[in-house]
Amino acid sequence: MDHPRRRTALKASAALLGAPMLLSACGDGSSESGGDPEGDLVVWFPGTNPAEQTFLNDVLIPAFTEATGRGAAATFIDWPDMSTRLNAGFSSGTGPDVLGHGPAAVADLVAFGRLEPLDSYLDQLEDSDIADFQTALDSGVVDGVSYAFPIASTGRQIGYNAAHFEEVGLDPDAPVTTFEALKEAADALAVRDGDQLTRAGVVFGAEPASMQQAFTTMLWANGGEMLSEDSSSVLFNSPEGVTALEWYVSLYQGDAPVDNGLGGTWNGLPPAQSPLVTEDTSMLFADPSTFQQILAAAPEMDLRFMDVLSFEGKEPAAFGGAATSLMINPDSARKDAAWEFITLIGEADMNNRYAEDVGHVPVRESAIESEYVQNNPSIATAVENSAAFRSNPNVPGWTRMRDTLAQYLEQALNAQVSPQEALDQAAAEVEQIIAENG
Amino acid sequence: MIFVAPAVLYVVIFQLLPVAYGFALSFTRYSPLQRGAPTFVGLENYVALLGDADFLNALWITARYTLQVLPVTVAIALLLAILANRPFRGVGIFRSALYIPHIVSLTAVSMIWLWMYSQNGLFNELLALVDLGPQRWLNDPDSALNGVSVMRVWKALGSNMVLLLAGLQTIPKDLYEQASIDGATRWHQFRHVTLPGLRPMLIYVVAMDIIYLSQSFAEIFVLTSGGPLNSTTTVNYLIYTEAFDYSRMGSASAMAFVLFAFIAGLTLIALRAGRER
Amino acid sequence: MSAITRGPTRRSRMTRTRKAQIVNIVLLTVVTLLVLFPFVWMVSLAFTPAESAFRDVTLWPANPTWDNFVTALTVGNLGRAFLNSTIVALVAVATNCFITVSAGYAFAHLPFRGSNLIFYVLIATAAIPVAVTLIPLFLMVSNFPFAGGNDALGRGGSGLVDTLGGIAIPYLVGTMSIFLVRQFYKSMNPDLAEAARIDGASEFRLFWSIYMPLSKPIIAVVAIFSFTGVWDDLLWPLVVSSSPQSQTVQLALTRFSQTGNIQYAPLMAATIIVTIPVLLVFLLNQRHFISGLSEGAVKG
Repeated sequence: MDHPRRRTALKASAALLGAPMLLSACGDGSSESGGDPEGDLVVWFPGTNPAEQTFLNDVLIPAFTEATGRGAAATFIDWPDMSTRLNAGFSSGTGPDVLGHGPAAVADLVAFGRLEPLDSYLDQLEDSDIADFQTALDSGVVDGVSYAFPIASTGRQIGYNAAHFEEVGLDPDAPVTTFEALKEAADALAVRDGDQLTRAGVVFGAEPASMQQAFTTMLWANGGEMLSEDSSSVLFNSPEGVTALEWYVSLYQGDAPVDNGLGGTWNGLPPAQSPLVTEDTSMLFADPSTFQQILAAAPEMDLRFMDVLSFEGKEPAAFGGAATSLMINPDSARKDAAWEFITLIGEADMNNRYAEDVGHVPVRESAIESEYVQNNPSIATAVENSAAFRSNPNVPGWTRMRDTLAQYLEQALNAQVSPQEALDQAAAEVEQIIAENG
Repeated sequence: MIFVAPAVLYVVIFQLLPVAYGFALSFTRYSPLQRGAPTFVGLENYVALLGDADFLNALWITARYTLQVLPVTVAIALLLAILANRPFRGVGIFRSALYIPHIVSLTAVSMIWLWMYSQNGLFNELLALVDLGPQRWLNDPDSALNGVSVMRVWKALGSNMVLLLAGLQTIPKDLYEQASIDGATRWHQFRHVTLPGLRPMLIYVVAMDIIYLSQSFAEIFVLTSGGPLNSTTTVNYLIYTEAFDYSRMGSASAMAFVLFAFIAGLTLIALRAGRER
Repeated sequence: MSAITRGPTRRSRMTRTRKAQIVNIVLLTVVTLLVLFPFVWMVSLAFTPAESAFRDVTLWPANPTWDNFVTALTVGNLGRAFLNSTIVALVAVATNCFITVSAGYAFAHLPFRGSNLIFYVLIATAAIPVAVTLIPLFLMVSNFPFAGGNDALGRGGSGLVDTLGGIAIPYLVGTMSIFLVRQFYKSMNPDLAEAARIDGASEFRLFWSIYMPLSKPIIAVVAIFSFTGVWDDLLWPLVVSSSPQSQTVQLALTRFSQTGNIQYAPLMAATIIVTIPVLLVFLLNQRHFISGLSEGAVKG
């Protein structure tokens, strides 16, 4: 049975067959031709839900074809899968012409030369158009250059159950404007049984990205900054940062905690089981899309929304800006068509329709006039406050920095380390990541 | 030779070659997004892992998870296989029903589990019936891993049972008849006929469970995202984050090969323990 | 005398086996109900009107409806995805049943020098996380020679990306199945074939006419597992498929399960629809788990 020579030959031929398939691609990844300049536009779109797919396939792409005489094919990819897909696609040069993603991914894509600068394209837009986008365009700027075009906005806000406010003697029409007052209201709203919270005053998201977004909101609203202007050093462990985190920790720790959502995975729960709907909390810190779904699941609830908060004597600010952004692959042979596609979905009417169909926040401030925004208080609050929304720093390695910071925040919220220690340790690690990517 | 050639050829090209490529990458710094070739960094990635508290924690979580899910799954699956091995009308219905959890798409079924574990979910309702206060299940770092384990046992029961059922087919009926005539109790039959006859298949089931459980990712992703306080962050969860969210393929590959050494070690221990004495 | 005493004994033995049978079925029923419980909730949700899913959580929905099934079948791309997944899964079942069964048999009964080493190397590949091999494998598929406009060196086109062939590649031979088949044959008596071998029958004939007929249970398991493996995988199709024409069922399901915006009731309905074919494959194959083999077929 044993034929050593034949076996060697077999292995060698196997290696010969397989190796070129691998090697021819892992050289420099520049073998891509960019495709046929006249062909259909290839779009990788983040988001898979039926409303989004219908809007693209039945509204946007036909309009694009009508305007340009060119077809377009969209592939819909769920958010968490987008990075995987991009890594594989770019590794072999089979990337799309237009790709969509969140702002958190932009700086890394830029660092590897995978995004086309949009400045010369944006110059073609009217100044009034640019102004209409408010802070959302900032989310796509890396080192002063624009790379990503926002098509949907977001902004963290506090939604509250007006009935609960009345129940405890608070005026739902004169809601809270500062974090200090928020804590007092939460304390009044909380229902306790001994030292057990049976109804929380307020609930903040407890997933890593949510914790970072909450803390950063508090940091900005307290006059602090995440990183220095040139992104070379960490500023979040400043005194402003420490007071902000101390406030955040006080929701869970100390004599009178008002939030029992720590460690919670309720983000994955159905809207109808959100603690706001089940009346396990009176206030919730979340994004407008989540509130839209909650309202759809519990239409009878009198849910209202606060304007962006600040700490006393400081300027209001909150995490927000662009949610979905579109970008252009620099290797594309159809860049001008790609830009036409992007501006089409960014046009006022089209963008409002997109927002309405999918339940997003429209990206233009002028959308405030539209019926859709007027009829949806959560969306309206987000659009009205759009000047106060800010985006996370656009630096290479950002997702790692975010998760690192979140990890220490979680330890502080669980009282395993003091706020100062948590922020100092996080700062040290984040600075190391900056150095690695610098 | 001719029997194994197609399999070997396929595995060498489509499995070993990618593995070799990954192994080579573990000595480099490389992002699939980059245009240039990977940068060789020697053992840097491996050295960094040794001092990485998160990685060591993830190894510990992986070991705990594997070692607690494995025996429970195998024991229950063995019981079910023996029960479902007796021929009676409708046994196929039972077998299929027990196999359902294994084939139902994880995404959908994880929503049910998330709800069952939630504050107003089924488990807390059941506790309330016997006047016990609500538990925090997946939200508490002390119980989250156990919560995920329960779902994994549930999900893995079917495949384990099917394998053991197939294994039971190789035990000749006459051995049981012989034992029965000799007056052996059911426990004796199990101990002296079933277990020895099932040994090769049991070895397979244990090895398979070790290999797959040590690479757990999906159920963690959908139930807890690795939290709270990293209490459910397995090595493969870290590998996915590192490879795709951070695009650090070199470091992810190094983690994968440390995990491989870990799995190989566990599997070898199991194989040795299962060898005929 | 003896006839009188034997009667009752036999009867008590019969009632004992019947009692055991009843206990057996009761136990099985209890465990099955427990195991099925989460699935029963899924079914219940699938019949709940979409807007009240998870609202009033009851096992029997207040206004049961077929709407979610209609949504699942009309809104999604399930039809095409069904066809694609079925083709890929059947190809994988065929290749696995032939290639892994023969390889597993050889590793068990026809050892050659180095076969153990090769065997362990094969199994080891199953212990490497997919995250690491995903991209190299993708590179191979996209640089597959003479496909999708590629030249002999695999350059110039898109290779097997976005084709069913590309999707099928990782499933063709399961190393764990080889291991499984080897374990199965290891428990069979190698002497079984000795007589025939002395008579001068070829190895292939021995395998085909002596071992194959005894291998039904294991072939059934390999078929079930390779079918399920293809049917349930999301990661690989996600990377390789880009048009609706090459979507698999799990990709089609993502339409209802977008992170942060899940269509609960239609998702449950679609998932149930998608589960049915695998269940049928299982039902058809489990018939081969018939207890007890002919005497002497296996070693004691």
